[in-house]
Amino acid sequence: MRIQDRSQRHIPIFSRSTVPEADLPPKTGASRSTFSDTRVCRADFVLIAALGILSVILLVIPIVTAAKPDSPALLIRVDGKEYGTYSLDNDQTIPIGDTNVCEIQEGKVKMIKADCPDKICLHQNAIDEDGGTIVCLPNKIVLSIVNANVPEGGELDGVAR
Amino acid sequence: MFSYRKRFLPILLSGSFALTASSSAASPMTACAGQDDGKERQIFAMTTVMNLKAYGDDADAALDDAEEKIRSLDSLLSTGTEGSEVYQINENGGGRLSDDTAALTEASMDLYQMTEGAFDFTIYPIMDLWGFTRLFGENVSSSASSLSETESGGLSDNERLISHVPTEDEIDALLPLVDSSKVSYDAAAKTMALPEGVKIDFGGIAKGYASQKVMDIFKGHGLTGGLADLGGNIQVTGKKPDGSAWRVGIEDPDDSSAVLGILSLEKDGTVITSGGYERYLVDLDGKHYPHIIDPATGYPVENDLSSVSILCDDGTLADGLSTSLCVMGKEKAIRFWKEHPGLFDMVLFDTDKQITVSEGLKDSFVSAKYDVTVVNAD
Repeated sequence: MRIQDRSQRHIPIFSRSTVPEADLPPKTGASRSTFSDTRVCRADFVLIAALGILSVILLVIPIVTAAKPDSPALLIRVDGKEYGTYSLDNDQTIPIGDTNVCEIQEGKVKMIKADCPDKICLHQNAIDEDGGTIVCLPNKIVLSIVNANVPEGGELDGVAR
Repeated sequence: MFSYRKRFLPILLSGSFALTASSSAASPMTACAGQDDGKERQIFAMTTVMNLKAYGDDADAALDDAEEKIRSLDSLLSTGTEGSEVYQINENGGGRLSDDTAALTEASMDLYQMTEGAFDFTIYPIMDLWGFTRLFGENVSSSASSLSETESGGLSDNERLISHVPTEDEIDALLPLVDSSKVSYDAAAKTMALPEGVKIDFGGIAKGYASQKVMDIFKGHGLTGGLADLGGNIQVTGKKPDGSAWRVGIEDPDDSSAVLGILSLEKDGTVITSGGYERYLVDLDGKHYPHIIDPATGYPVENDLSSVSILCDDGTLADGLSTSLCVMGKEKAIRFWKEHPGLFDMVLFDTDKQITVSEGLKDSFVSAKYDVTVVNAD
C-alpha cells in the first residue's frame, strides 16, 4: 500500500532514506531541489551544533574581554558631579579646572596645586588603594578612591567623624 | 507533504538558542532581577561636604528633594550670611520664625534643660570671641584670606591658627550673654525676642536636624533604604538591597584614616560623633583650643573624653547630645545616660584610649583596636 502522508511516518534520522524510490513524490521542477525534502537529517544537526557553538562563543567573549572593572581608581568630583576616573596604575598629573592640580605617583594621590586661600587640601595625607578622600572645600573638589581595598573587618557604609 | 514541524522546528530551535545566548552575552553580566546599586548625590553645604545614598524606584526624585531641603536649611541658618533668618534675628534682637527655625529653637530649649546647660545655643558671642566663627565659618575662602600662606602652610584640615587668645576679662564680659533662659520664645506665635547682645547659633544641631529631614523625605518617597553622611553625621533608614545591617565606623581621633570600631545598625538610626579633635585652633606654641566650648566657663573643653558618639532615633537629639556629653566629661556622661534610659546609646573614647559603650550596643559595636567596657543601666 502506498503511503499517502509522509509526515505520519517515522523516518529514522541518520539512515538513508528507506522510502522506496517509487513512493517518493515525483521530482518536478521546484520539487527537484532539496528544499522540499522535509525530513530532519544530518544537516539540520550540523546547523544546530554550529549555532550552539556560536552562542557559546558570543557568551564568552564579553567575559574574557571585559576591562578589569574592580580595580581601585581615583574618582574626582567637582561640585558633586563626576569630573573623571583615573587608574592608580599610571603615574599622571591631572589638572582640575583652572583651580587645582592633583597627581598620581606610585599609586598615591595628592593635591599638588590649589588656588584656595587655605591650601588645606595640599596638606591632607596622600590617599591610595586602601581608600580615603582629599577635599578642597572652597573649590568643591573631592578626590576619592573607588573600588578601594576592603578594609580589615569588612566594608563600611559610612564613618562617623 | 510539506511539514512545518520538520522544516522549521530545527531552525526555530537553533535560532532561538542563538538569540538568547547572544542577548545574555550583550547584557551586563552582573545585572540580575532586583539588584539595586542605588543613586548617590554629593552636596557642598553647611561648610562641609555631604554624601547621600538612596535605594528605591524614586531615588532620583528623593535625592532632588533632599538636596533642596539641605540647601534651604543652609541659607536659613547660616549665621554669616546677611540674608539668612538667623542673621536677621541676631541683628534685630528677635523676630518671627519660620517652621524649621521654630523647631530648632524648641529642640535647643529642650536640650538646654535636659543637659542642664551643657548645650546652649546662645554660645555664639563666645565662639566669635575665640575666632571659631570666622575661621571655621561659612565663608571659608574669605575668612581665611587674612592668613598668609606661610601661616596656613603647615595646617591640616581641622586646625586654624588662633589670632588672639581671649583674656579672662574678655570672657567674663561676654559670659552673662550665654544663657538660653534669657531667650523669650513664644511657641504659639513662633516669635523670639533676645536681650541686647544675646545671639543664637544652631550650628550644634543643624546637621542633625538636616539629616532627620532627609530621612523623612526618603521615607516619604517610599525608598527601600537610604543613608545620609552630612559632614560625618551618619543617619540611615530602611535597609540595603541585600538586607544586611548598615556598617558604620567611628573615626579614631588619633588617626583619621582608621576607626575605633564598627557599629552595626539593624534599624533606622543616626550615629553622630563629637570631639575636640574635629576642629581646633592652635597657637604658636602648638597648644590646641578645641571648638567645643563649655558654656559655663567660656573656655574650650579639656577633660577625659577624646570623642563621644551618640546612637539614637533622632538626628537633632543625637547632634545636640554628642557635644553636650563632650562638655560633661566621662563620669557625668555615664550618669546622664543612666538618668535617661532608652533615650540613646553611646560610645565614649577617653584620653586613656579606653572605649566605654552603653549596654544597648554591647552586641552591635566591635573594636579591633581597643578594649571595650560595657556600662549597664542601674
